Amino acid sequence: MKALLGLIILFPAFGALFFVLFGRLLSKKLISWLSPSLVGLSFIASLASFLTLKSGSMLYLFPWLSVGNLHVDFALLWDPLSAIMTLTVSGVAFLIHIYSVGYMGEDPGFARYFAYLNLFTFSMLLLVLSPNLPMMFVGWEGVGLCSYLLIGFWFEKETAANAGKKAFIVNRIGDFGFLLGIFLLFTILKDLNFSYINSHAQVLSPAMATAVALLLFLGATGKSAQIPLYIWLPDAMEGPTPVSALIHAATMVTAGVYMVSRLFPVYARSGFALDVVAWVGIITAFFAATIALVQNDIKKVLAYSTISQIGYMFAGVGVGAVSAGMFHLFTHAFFKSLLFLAAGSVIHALGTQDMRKMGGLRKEMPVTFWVFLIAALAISGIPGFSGFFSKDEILAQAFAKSRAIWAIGVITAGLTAFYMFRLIFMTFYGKPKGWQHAHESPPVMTVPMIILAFFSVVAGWIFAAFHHFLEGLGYVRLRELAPSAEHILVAVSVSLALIGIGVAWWVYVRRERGLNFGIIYRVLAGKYYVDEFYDILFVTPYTQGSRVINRYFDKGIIDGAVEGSGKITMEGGKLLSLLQTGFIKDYGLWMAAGVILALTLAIRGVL
Amino acid sequence: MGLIPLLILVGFAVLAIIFDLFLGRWWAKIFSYIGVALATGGEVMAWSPRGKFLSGLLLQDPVGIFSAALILIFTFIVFLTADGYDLKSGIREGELYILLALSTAGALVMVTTRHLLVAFLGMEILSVANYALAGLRRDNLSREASVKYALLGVFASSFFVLGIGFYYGAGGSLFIDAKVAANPSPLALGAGLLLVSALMFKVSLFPFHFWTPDVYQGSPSPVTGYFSVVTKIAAFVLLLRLSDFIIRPEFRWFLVASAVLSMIYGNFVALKQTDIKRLMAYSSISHAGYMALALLLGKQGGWVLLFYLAVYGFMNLGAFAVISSMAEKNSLEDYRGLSRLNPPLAAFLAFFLISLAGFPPTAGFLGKFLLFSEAGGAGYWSLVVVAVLATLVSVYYYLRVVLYMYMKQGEEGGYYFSTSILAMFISLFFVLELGIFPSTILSFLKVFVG
Amino acid sequence: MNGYGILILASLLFAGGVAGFFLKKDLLTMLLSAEVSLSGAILALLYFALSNPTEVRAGIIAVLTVAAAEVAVALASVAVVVRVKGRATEKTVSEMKG
Repeated sequence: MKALLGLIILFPAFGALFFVLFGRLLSKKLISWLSPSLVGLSFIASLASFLTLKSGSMLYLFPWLSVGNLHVDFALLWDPLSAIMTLTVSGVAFLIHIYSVGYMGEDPGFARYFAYLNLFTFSMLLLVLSPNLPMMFVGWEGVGLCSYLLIGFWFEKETAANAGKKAFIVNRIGDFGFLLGIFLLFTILKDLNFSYINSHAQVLSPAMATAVALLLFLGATGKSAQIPLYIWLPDAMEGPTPVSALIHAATMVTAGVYMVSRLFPVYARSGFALDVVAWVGIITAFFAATIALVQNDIKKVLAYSTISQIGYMFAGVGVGAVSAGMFHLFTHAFFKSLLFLAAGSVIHALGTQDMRKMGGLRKEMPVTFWVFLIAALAISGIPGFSGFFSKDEILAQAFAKSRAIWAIGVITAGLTAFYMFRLIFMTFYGKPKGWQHAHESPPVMTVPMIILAFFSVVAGWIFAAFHHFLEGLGYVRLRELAPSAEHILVAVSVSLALIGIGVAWWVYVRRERGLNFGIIYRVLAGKYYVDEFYDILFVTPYTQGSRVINRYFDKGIIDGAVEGSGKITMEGGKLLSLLQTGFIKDYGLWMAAGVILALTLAIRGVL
Repeated sequence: MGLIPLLILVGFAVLAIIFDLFLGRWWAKIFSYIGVALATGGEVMAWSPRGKFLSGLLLQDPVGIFSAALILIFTFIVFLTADGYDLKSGIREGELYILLALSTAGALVMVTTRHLLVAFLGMEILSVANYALAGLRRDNLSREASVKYALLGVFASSFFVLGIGFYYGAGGSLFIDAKVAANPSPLALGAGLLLVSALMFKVSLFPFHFWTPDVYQGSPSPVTGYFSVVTKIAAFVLLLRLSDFIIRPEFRWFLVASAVLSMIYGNFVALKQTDIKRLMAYSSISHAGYMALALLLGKQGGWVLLFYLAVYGFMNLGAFAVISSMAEKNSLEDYRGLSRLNPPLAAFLAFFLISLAGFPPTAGFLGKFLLFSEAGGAGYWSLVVVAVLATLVSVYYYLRVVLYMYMKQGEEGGYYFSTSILAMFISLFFVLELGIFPSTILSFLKVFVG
Repeated sequence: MNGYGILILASLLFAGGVAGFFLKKDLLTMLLSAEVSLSGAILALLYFALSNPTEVRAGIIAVLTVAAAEVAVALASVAVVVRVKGRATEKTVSEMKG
């Protein structure tokens, strides 16, 4: 039944081709039925594969490259890693396709949108099912291309077009590393199949393994928006919100984590490379979380939150716990796409992304509110919700490897709870600010959200049931911690999360009410002192600090480096083009000079 | 046997001249088409018996036959392209076809000879026809292109002749396989350097590339496509045959420097271009730089060089088929909103540019992938780093054109196409074929070229 | 053997041609200079072929012929410029640049 694997990618591929070629001719109704059902079929095929195929099954399609000692086949590989990814990608993509029918209903680019979305699903599935690096690169570039196209979907808007361009340029840098890594690996091992690479990782010298691993990791930081290449992701929020949910939260941006997990033995060969992965991950997690604290655009908060959570995944993989990283990838896909869809529902209702103009939506949009709350509890790591299990597994594994990484991770968990509930309180609590009418979204949008909410709760339990599933890979194992230590760690991170929620409530609900109904609180003496004390101790350093980070680090250094290198390249081009004077004589002079120079130097070498 | 394709080609070209003169232009076109088609068949049949003939002056070996077949196929595609072009631009079409056929005959001589004087003859046949082709349009840019090409071409020819003299002086033979490159004397070195420099002029490698943008911009569009592909193949194959010189240590650095500078110069200067043909000229300079990597591998690099030449030919000619359909409206502004005006044209051009930029699953990706990994395997790591960086820069200007076509509003107008769409389909087919199912051709090249 | 005389002449022609190409402004003169250096190169070939005249001498005639053809075409393209623009210096054909 290996043919099932073919079906998984065939359905979205057919959809993409069909809509690209005939999209204009089809009725909206047909597209809105066909496109999601194709992805649904793909999901069913993945489920069937999961139930019937055994790990390590491979469907050969045709030999792609066969030159000398390079043999690369077009094939699809089914193993625990690709199984988890395939199920996640096709499942989430299916729900988001349905949601999009409602969200994009009015858009004139309806057919184009679904063509891109199906193409994306196809490329992403190709990426996760590929058994070798070149094929993975095909998927890698494919999802990238769809991402630029969808970020710039509303290209009439200048900002959207620029955001697409930025994502594109930043990812060039990542691809540079990725490609060089592939070339280097090929010249050393003479084979690019994952099975061969992973079983022969010991052949690599540690220095070589470090070089390969870091080059590939540069690619991962580009795709997965980690320091230093994370800056494109917040801008990518210019795209339609379902796209942000699918591509820029649940699936594509986690491809880097998947790639590192896939080639974990190469990373494990070099302790330094693993440390780099872990530290880049955890620092990104912390940085992004601090920036998320002061964002007022609802999607920007979620964007920085995504960067931060992917940082967790890298930290997990980097401390050697591949299954913990993949676990978080799995649970994150549900609650983060849900957060985006719910935010999309709010944006759809109000037509603004500015949280300062929201407030009090709890009554008008009850479904959205409740699913949002569930997702927020999940991401904050409240026990019982999916994020709790995965995040704590990462933190526990980090604790076993390095206390410092664990400490930063726990603090970040507190920050996460804070900014997430800040978002909830600003959006759903308090009084309406600047809007009169809001309505709950239609069922075509709320039903996918409810399903995702269900999974945001139970994904942790599902995965826990399969906990040893990933060990089928052969290189995945977890460190065992003493139960008492584990309990203490859980207690610390949960209490920090609760403190984060509490502070958010204090600042954005209680104090706001206090300002509105001033007398009561003035009677409760010391209120202002507490506020001011709190401001000085807590809010001011945070907001100022992250504003500084935002302005100088994010906008200044990183953006400056990207724009600067673009500018230098452009100016370099202009400067070089001055050589092209248009005069025959100058051209001839270059030729003569070239020959004479070469001749002199070469003959001096001979004599 | 091996001479037959050449005889067919030249014979039909002569017939075309005569019929063009007395019976009208259509005949020139028909005879040129037939000549090229029959010659392609003849070239395929020349596969066996292989060997030397004509007192050892000509050579029918896998490299020669493969590249000759490529040249003929590409010429055929250029014919199809030109069909869609001359309807609008009103140049004397008969001459266009005859000159293209004759130039192709020169290219065939270049790739199937093992004697330097014959190679020079082939190169001159090609060049003389090319100077005329460049000046075929009746406007100032075309005239300027022709003058620039001719004057600098004469200059390069004198390098080549002087190189032949040195070669003979060093080895006492004019056969390319005479092992003169192993001769340590300065004379042999000078010979190699002069010969290689003249050929570097033809393939537009730094610092011999300066003519390229001006000539490409000024020439009629199908002719530019022809220059960028057929001339390059012929000269690169000769360079491959002379690669024993190139891999000499006193010499290698020159090609390394030239490859690096070509990649950098081509890709960087292309960034600021607003004329699409000029942009494609700089792109072709940078592609010559990539291909120079294969030359550094010596004869072992032959298979990857030929594969890249094939890939480059199809994607570049595909792009030029679209450019020719625009009837010399070459500013990027003319491409604004083309996706609304003429969706198939825009889609084709976007596809070929994406392939040129090296995105999978097109052949452009595979060609670069094989080329760079071979170069890396041979230890040219710093070159691979530069090449990958240069490729990344190049993506920007290729996609800028796509951006103009798809993301900017343009004005209405009437464009149409004719047989040039056939050229686009053929190129599209091969770019996908070579990108997704390359095994057959790769194992062929690997077995027979080495 | 006074073949050296030929070699010296060849060098002078080649160098003179190159110098003329770079010193003269007029396109026709530049073309002429390029042609002179080409003749110098052919003469050098002849010098090297002196030791074994049978093989190469016929070839040199062929080379001379195609070189002449090349110059004829180049001359034609310059002549067109002269006819259209009235004169042909390097500046008249420097419209394309950058």
